[in-house]
Amino acid sequence: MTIKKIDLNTSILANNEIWAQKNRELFDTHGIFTVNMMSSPGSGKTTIIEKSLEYFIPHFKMGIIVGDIETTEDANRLKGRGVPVVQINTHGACHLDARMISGALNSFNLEELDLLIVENVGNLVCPADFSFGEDLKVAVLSTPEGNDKVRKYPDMFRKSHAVIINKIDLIDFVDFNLDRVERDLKNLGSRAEIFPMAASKGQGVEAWCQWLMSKVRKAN
Amino acid sequence: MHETALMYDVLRTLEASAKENNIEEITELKLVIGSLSSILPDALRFAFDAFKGSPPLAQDAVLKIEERKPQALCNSCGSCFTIENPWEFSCARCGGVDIRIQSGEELYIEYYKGRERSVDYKEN
Repeated sequence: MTIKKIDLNTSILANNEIWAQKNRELFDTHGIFTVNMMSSPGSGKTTIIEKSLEYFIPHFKMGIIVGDIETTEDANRLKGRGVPVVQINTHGACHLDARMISGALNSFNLEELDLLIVENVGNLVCPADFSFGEDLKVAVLSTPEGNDKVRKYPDMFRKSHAVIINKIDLIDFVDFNLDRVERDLKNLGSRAEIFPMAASKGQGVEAWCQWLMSKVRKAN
Repeated sequence: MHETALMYDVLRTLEASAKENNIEEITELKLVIGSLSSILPDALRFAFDAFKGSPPLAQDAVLKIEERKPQALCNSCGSCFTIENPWEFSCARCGGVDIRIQSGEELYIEYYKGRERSVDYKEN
């Protein structure tokens, strides 16, 4: 009996990558720009999307996917604005993967989409490793979480193209040092755009929206 | 991270490949894991031991894991350096942060070894 050696050189994440590639092909075919928004729970992702809609709606045909372990609360908040919203409940899984997004895409008329924003499950760890085929990753960090998070959870911040520092209006109450966050991001080799924001008050939302709109236009 | 689910996928990949290559028993498996990949080798080993017997294709296989430390190239001074801490990617020589990661993000099955199924030749 002979022993045979088989060189595979296959990614361990191949299963997710196959689905991500399928999604990417669909996005390319239909000219859809996609954003993966990631953060810990409660940093303000849904509020940021809510406040961004008024800037995006006049320019793009948008769609939103929101991921949570349970409930449709986020989808309910975003509905009624003329934008299709699909809620994914992962029932325990701590991130959205490419296959889940692929399933959710069936609920959209892809011909009618230019910009798809995906609000990932609140978690600073796993979503960074499971791409669904997106164009941009955006991390949100809110000031009450503390300014050490970039160093503590470097993977997500290193991979993000933009970092929104939300709840900047609370900065004086929570001992948050924006310079330190900027320095930590630089030390990760990050070239991410940084957007200080107080989404609930609408502060800083326009700068982020203008930046994203320029990215969408450049891609088309 | 998700070592259990990933190891399950690894074994399914091996199962499919073994079938294609007429392998009846896997004797050795090698994975390459970069330390920036957020995958813990010990957790992979644990998952491998839990799953390897079902189906029994790899139940006696040896799992080898090569861990790779992240290496980067500094675009400012041209030096190659090892990233010692995953929150500190600046160049060890000049402190520059314009760097390119060259390794450390690997996450793949390099190879496996296995016994080929013996073929019975029937005499005509």
